[in-house]
Amino acid sequence: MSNIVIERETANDESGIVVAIHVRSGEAVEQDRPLFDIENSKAVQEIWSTTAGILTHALEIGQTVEFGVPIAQIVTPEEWAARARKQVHSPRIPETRPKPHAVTTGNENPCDFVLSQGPSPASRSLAVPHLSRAATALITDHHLSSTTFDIDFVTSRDVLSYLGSLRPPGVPQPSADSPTQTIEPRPETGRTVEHRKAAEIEALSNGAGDTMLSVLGATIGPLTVRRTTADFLNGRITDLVIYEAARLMRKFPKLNSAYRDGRVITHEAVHAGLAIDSGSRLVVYGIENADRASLHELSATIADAVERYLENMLTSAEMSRATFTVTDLSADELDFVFPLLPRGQSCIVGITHSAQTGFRLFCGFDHRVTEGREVAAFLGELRSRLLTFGAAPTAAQEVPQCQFCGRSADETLRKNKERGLLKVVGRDGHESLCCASCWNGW
Amino acid sequence: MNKPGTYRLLAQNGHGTSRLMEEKSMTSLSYLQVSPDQQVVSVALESAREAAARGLGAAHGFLRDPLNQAEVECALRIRAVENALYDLFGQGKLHGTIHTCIGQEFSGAILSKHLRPDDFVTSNHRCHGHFIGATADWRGLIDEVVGNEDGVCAGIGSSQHLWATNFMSNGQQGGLLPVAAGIALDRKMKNERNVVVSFIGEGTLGEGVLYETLNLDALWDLPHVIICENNFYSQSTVQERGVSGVIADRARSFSITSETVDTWDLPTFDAVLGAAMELAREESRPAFLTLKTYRLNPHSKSDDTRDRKEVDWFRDHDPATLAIRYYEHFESKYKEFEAEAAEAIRTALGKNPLQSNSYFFNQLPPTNRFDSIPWTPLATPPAEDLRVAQQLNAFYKGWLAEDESAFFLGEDIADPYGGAFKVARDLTNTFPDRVRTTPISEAGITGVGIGLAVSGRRAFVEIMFGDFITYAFDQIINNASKIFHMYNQKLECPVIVRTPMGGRRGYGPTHSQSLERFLIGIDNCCTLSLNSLAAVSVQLAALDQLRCPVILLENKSDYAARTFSPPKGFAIKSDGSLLPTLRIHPEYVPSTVTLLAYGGMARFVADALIEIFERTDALPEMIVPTSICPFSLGSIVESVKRTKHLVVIEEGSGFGSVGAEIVAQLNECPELSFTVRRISAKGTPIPSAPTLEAAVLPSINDVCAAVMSLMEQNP
Repeated sequence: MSNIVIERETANDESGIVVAIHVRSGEAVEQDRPLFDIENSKAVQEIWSTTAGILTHALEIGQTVEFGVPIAQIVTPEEWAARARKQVHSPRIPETRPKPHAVTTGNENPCDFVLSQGPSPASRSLAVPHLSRAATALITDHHLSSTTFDIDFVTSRDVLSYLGSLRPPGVPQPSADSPTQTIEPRPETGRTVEHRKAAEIEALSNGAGDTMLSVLGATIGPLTVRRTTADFLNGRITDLVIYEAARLMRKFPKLNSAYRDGRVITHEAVHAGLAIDSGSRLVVYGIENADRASLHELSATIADAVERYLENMLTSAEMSRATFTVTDLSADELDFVFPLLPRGQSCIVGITHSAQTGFRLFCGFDHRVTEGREVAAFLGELRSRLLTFGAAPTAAQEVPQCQFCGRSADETLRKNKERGLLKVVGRDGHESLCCASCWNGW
Repeated sequence: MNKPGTYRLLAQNGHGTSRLMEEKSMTSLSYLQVSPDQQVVSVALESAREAAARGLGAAHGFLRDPLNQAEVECALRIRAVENALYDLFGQGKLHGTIHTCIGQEFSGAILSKHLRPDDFVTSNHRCHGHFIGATADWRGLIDEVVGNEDGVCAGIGSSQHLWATNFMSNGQQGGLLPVAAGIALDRKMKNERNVVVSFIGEGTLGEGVLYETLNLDALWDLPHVIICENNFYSQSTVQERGVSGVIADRARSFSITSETVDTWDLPTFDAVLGAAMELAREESRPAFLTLKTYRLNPHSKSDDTRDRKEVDWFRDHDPATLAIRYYEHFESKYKEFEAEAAEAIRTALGKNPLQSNSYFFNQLPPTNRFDSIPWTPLATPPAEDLRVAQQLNAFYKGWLAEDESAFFLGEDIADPYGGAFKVARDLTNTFPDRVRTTPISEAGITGVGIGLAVSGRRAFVEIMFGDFITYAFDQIINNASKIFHMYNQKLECPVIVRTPMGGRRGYGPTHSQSLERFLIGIDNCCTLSLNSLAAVSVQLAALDQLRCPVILLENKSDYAARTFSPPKGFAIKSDGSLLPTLRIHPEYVPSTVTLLAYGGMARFVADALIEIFERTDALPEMIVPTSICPFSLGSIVESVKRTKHLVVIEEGSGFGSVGAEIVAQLNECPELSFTVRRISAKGTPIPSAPTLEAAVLPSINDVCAAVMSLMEQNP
């Protein structure tokens, strides 16, 4: 067997073209018989047989052949017969693309460009479009078919645009700038903060912004308070805390102060703030001169304040005059509260109640104004005073006291030589004891 | 020996030597003598002294003979005009410089006796005497030197660049010699017994193009007489320093008849010149005359380092001076000429200069700018489509058949070889007179082509490899490019210099270059870059309409290719302009990037369009100009406006290239915003080894990378 190889004749060519075939494949040839004509850029080369035998080739007219590579062979008759037996006659199977699931849609709009040459009757002339590599990747990822696209050249932008047109409305489109992106971003949720909350935030942040807030807590325990009237304060101690805390503010004036620019400004009056929040708006109602109000007056004021709060009739003066605040969360079963200081205050008392531990007080305070020792003393004293309101009459309860100054009958006897306490009936029918000094005024 | 009258040349083919005036051979610098005041004296000048002394009697004899009156008066006329111009220059009223020929007038005067209509004269910077001798248009010369619109070239060329129907001068030494040979070739073909006379100086003997011309004159038997005026000083350099051997022997070595004469023994000069012209006219043979002479004025002005005594001695022997001194008739004639010259100068000074707006017209083909482009589809190439080299062969053959005066020159193009790339196959067989294979003389044959072109013929000059066009730069830039404007648009030069550019064949650094960037922006020259995307007949359809010089760049790789067929989905269109710009674009889908390429790179990129699309995700369209200087900006703008992305791909270096010019012009367009990348060869010579060569030249990888970086920068 011998190979027929075309030699390269010119530096300018790497291949030639078959322009003539003189002998068909399978024909017998003798030596020096012209077989083919190969044309290069300068001339036509005649290719001759080098030996006798059977010529085998697969050349066609117009085919490009490379130089230096065998283009045909001359074999012996035996080899030819052996080859003929082995040959399998089967047609060439054309290459097919893998067929992913075809997606049918009704509203395709893959081609959304402005054609400067004017609208074409068809945008596709090829049976199978050309796909860029990036487009191929996307099509495979999304299990599309290339025949979905009605254009000759499909880029990633086309695929993304098509994918975008499949989405239900309201969901934002993916960006077409990064052709490899396949995950769409989660749409953002959230409402704008309401106006009142924004005001609350502003109020709290003004107070809490610079505040060195610290909180101390004390357990009061279960406290049953005998109330003469079945009013909304049943089961609560809100008025009691306000009553005692307001009076204690005279003893602990720093807790009735505010920190401003390196100075501690003590309020002259004690206006106890009552936090009221029905769910629509948190306000702190300032009970005026709470340290001089009786319990009875306090409860009346509280009731009035709540009523007017519900009717939105509170004035801004009422809502901003508190010098300290009490916030009562005992309606819920809670163990702990971390109360935030409103603007201009340095003490807030939170009340919690749980079935196990009873009432607890948590005092939030501004560490720039006071410190833990003082607050602990305040809390201790507040606690002991509150305990005196307990249902079980204690010995201390039997000792008559002046309602207003708190002196016992013994004290008034000792100090002012008074023989006893007067029983005073208030305008609302409420009975209380009063010493002569308080009745006479001094 | 010194008889006036006819004189028969002894030598015919140069093997015998004429012993008329033999010079001493001066080759050693030890012969240089330095005079006491350090002025270099030419010892070769001794032969001039001898000749002047010897010729004194003959000169007087010539002056006395009434038959010579016209020639003497011509010489005096030249002197009067030269002196007047020289004085004007001294007064500071001349813009530029002049090189007067005082003392050498008789070379022009005696020439005038032997010239016939349709003869032609070329000269150099010291051309006034030759001009007046050839044309008698001394008034036009004065106007020209003064610089007004009545000058022979309307003041454009001034002293050194003159033109008349039978005259041409240019400033670079020897540059016009091959052009003169081309004109001589034209006269020979016309067979009307005309002669071309060229004047050079002894300084010109250093320029190689002289010897290329002598070689061509001898090989082709051209009727070309070259007169070397040896005035023994090249500006300030004495002859010994610049000229070796014997001047006359140079021509003899080419087997050209060579004689030595001088401007003192005027009868002998007259006779020998007559005989040389006769030889050229009747037998179509070249001749070379060495004419010893002496200029009495400085090279131009105030640049005279010669000994005053020497100059004065020669003045006393100068025939024109003798005529004025000793012959009353000539003295009064001279005074007359002086007055006329003065008058002409006075008038000339009062005339208007040429309006500049009429000067700027050029012969370049029109190009579109911002009109809408009528893209027309190209016809698909026929099935038995020829390779590009064969198409070119057919094109040139057709041209030569149709235009019977056209010429086609090239090295090694004789059949059966037909040229290095076979483009000229069969042409010498078919047109043996007009298709000539030449020696390896790129400057010479380009000059011959120019000479043929200025004589009214189309001339194709093939430079075998584009790399060798460097030899022809002077002819292209200082002759072909300048002729139309320099001679006030009176003369055309429709020469076509064609050469293949391109690498990728492993031919190495000096056989692979793409030198487009040295061949663009040449005044009044159109540079074409053929590609294989459209048939040759389409790209060169309008070539015959170009009357300017054309540089036609073919491509080695494209020679073997057949005309491109766009891949399915792409269409190829032409913008319909005189020299078309082609556009290959996706037929139905808008493209997103413009690829601009020309020459061989156009096919290289076009074959890879689908691959570029698949790799870059951008859909390219190609813009391929066939004329790269000037180019059709409008067709490029139209594409870039749409795609906003441009990649320019060229095979040569990118610094100051076609691509750089295109981007610059695009940036001057109002309201055109785009981003651009330019791809070109690396700035090193092109190596031969295949991987190295591929690394230096632009690749498809480079194109893809550029496209992707563009799309990233500006999606």
